[in-house]
Amino acid sequence: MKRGLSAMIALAALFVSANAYSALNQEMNGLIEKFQKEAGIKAFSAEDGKKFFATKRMHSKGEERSCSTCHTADPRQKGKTVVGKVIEPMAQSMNKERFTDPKKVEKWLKRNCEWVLERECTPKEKGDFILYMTTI
Amino acid sequence: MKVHVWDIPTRLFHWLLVSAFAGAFLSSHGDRFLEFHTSLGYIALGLVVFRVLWGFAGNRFARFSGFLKGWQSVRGYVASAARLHPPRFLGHNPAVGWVVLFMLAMVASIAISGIVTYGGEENRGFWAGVFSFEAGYNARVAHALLADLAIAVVVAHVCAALFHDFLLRENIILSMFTGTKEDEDTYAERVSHIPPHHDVRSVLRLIVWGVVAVMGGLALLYLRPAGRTDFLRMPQPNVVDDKGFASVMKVNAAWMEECAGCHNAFHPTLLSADSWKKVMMGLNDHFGEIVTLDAAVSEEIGRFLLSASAERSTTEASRKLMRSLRGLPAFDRITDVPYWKAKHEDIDIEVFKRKSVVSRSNCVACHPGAELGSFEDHDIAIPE
Repeated sequence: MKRGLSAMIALAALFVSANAYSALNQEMNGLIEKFQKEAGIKAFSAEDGKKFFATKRMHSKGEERSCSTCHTADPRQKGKTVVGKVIEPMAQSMNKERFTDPKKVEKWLKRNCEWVLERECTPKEKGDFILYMTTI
Repeated sequence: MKVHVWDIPTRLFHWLLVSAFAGAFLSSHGDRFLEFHTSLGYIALGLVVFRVLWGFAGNRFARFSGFLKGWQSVRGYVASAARLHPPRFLGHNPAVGWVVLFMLAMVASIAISGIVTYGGEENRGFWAGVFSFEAGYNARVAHALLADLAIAVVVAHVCAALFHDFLLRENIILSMFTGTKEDEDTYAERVSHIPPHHDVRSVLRLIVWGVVAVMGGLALLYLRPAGRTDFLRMPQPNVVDDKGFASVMKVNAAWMEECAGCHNAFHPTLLSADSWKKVMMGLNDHFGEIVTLDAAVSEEIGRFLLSASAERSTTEASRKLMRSLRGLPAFDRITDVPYWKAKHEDIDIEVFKRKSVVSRSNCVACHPGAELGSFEDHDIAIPE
């Protein structure tokens, strides 16, 4: 009975995660699978992605930085870089071109993880982030 | 008896050209009315083209063959006019016939030199991307000289018309509205009845028209050109290639993608080649940020920046900033260039801190054409 329940939950989670990424194209699904394999987990969490997006961190340069520093607290809004350049919304619901090119996604994750966290992001952080951005 | 002399197209042409010329003259100072001014220039050129065609297709008074007379009749007319007793002509007299042709050529030259100026100096208009900044500058000198000449010709033309009306009492100004003139007998009959001091109505008419003209001119002065340039249709500026040929700059996708990912797409025409080399060599510490680019992408962007650097660009901004760099070491910050500083010194520091601007490096906040290499004065709009 207990095994049956957990199997059902696992199946439901798989269904949810498969459904959650249905907006992504084939190449992007490949990237997600890569992250899943690297992280050793079956499904990412949009909730964790949301928290990750908002987490503020003290940079070694002495200023607080987070994803929302440039992208604003709501990824559906337009953002602005520190020099004033307007950034189109991150959320895929507002900007169909977001999260369609794995190369571009990886490049920007690399650059911006370094900028905020001064390290590369973990596969789980990346997967959660993309899930959040494609479901909000 | 009234004779139909000036057909409707000829009269319309005359007054439309007067309006276009007056409007262009009134809007000729400063960049504020530049778009308005250039539109009127195109209109004037179009009118001249029409008049040339009408010179073959119009009625007998409008056709060139009707009023361009030989040297003998011109000399004879001028001689009698100098004695204040010229013979009366229904259409253009032999002297003014050639003046008409001269004025048409003059207006066309003004318009064409204006289009060259607009293309060379502002990279706008019909010949955008064809002429260099220097060619535009030279054309502007010619444009201004020709325009001064035109003012002199217009004054002479108006004086001649007043001479015909107030001394010869011909009513030729009225005929340019109604199109009709008195035949010889009616004219002689009317003139014989007018005591020399009695023509008050003509004077009043002159005053009324003068007031109308002044009011019209003042109205034009307060008319602001509406709307901004359509930047999407604006071509990139010219650059000189390795062989010395000018060609329209081609935008590089990697430059747009990589550089404009974080800040404005700073146009290659805004820094010298030395400066761009310095920037590309220093990407490890790019104004405090670390920039990592694939070697191939980095090389491609570097090549692009050098191919259109300020030395090679024909824009006004490039020429002036290069001039300000003379003898100085390479700057990697555009806002450190002396020309940039001089141009922006009157702007309050608070303006750059506004939420809508954020920093000095956000060119597009005030120069909507910045990413196309366009910084024209009349496009500037400082946001609140």
